[in-house]
Amino acid sequence: MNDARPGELDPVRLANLAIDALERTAMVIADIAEAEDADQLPPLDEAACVDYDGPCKGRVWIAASDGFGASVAASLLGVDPSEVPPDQAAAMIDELANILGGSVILDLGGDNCPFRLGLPRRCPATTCPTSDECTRIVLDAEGERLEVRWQPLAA
Amino acid sequence: MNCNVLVVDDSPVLRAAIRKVAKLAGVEEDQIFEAGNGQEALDVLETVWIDLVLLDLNMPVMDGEEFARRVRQNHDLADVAIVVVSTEANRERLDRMRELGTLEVLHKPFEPEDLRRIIGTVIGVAP
Repeated sequence: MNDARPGELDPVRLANLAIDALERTAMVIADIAEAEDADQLPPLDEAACVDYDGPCKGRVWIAASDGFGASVAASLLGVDPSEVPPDQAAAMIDELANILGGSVILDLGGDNCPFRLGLPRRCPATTCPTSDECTRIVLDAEGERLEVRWQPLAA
Repeated sequence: MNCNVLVVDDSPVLRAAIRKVAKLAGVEEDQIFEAGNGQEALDVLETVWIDLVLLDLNMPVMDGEEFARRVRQNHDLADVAIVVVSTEANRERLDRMRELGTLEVLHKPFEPEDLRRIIGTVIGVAP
């Protein structure tokens, strides 16, 4: 369980869940990008989100720069990023949203987790919620931009 | 080694990654089969004997829980080994999967070595 208030995730905890998911899944190293470092990262290109429900509802978003999906898939499969087909690169974004969604509900719910996770879905990066509406963190994933957002939803 | 493994996951990139780990565990390339959801997995089981199913739970068309339930209801398939590889964290659902006789639950994100060990144990190869 996280140390934030029950049912909440602070930005550092959210970042740590994403960093752990990337490292365990594909041995991709990521770190929190401070504002001035984040400005140097490539722009967002694609995004996916996944909803959960249970005692409360929420949505986990990930948005990434153009090369992120191929880079992670390449690391996972042990090939060069140029060998990753575009559909597999996009599927990697979906799967990471799924994995991170699972990590979030496990963190929120603990061992007796009551939350249910939906299916990930692709969405335009421009539709991601603003910082006012969510907990947001920017990561530098080996030179690619990865933004993770956690958005509580009305029951 | 004579052991057929079925990888059931709606993510093509995860199926490819799990296939790679299965090969590292000693499963031959032509003994690894894939399905993108529970219905496709049932279709595979109608044509090929499968020893081990590596099963995601949250999938479109037919999810992993429904797939496992149908497998257990089929007398001919009741002994097929099932290992859950999923982001699923809901306690009640995981309890239901255990009641359906799944051998292990490997939670995503997982380290490839954890999956290799499980496959090796199930198919009888020392990890």
